[in-house]
Amino acid sequence: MTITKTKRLSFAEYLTYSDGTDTRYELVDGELVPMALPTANHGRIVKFLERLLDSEIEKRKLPYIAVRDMGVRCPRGAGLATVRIPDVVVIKLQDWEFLQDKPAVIDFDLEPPVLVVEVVSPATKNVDYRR
Amino acid sequence: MTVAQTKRFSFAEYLTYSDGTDTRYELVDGELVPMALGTGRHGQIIDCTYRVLSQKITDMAKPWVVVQGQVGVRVPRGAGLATVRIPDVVVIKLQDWEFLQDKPAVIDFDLEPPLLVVEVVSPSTKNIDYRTKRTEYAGRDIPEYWIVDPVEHKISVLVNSDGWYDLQEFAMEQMIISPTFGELQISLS
Repeated sequence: MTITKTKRLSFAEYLTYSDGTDTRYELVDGELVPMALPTANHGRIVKFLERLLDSEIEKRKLPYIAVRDMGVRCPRGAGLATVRIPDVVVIKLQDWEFLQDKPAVIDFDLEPPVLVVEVVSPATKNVDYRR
Repeated sequence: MTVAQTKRFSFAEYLTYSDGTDTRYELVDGELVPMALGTGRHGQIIDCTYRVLSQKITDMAKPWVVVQGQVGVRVPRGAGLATVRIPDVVVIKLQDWEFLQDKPAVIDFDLEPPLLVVEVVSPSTKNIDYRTKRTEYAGRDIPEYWIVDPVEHKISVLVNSDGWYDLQEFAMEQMIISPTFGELQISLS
């Protein structure tokens, strides 16, 4: 087995990382993991869920907002930085406002999201259900 | 509601902390949590598990060592504050055990995770053993976690696959099957 040395990024390095393309990356134990482009159907379900959650939040007058493209820093492994980007995240409005001019990642200094939603695609099945 | 300010310990502070007594503490999100003294039966099951694993490791001629209740394991959880669990039984590589000889006996993030951790359930730790630690040990990439439950009379063998523990349950006196250790029996007699 060949062991490839992978460059590990710190959380701070991840926040400012750009490869010059539009590829989005999650960070798992300090390793960049590119997110595959979803199918149209996947995108449709995500969009539907975001709207559904927002309308339910409005109906119940909850101080929350449903958003896409929001990173969530998570604990795992041996303490190296891990950031997931769930398909939909529901967070408190005040946290959303706090993040307006910052990288859109919920770091450990903020409360965890109220809800995260993942829409499974065949490629992410194990990661969604297990990791 | 009154919110009591709790002192939060860093991992380094935890390693050198002593309250002058023999009380052992786990560290959860930086908070010291004293470990209750186990019952006689609790201790007996730990002893038995230790002996069975010891024998098995000898039979398999593996460079592993089984340790009882003295090794802490640093685990990831919550918002990144330090958490250290002290499982009832831990199996680690001999080289890691030797590395720890003159250091505080905690498997920090710079060491590989243990091969196996075992918790013996008591009524007061039931939820933590079945729920909280299940997530923490899986998150630390520990390949196997056994929960020995004398109240429900069963042993749960949890096997890590892609970061999630799959469950296989065995009756207390039954042979259990473990991917790492094969078949073995933890009995009280």
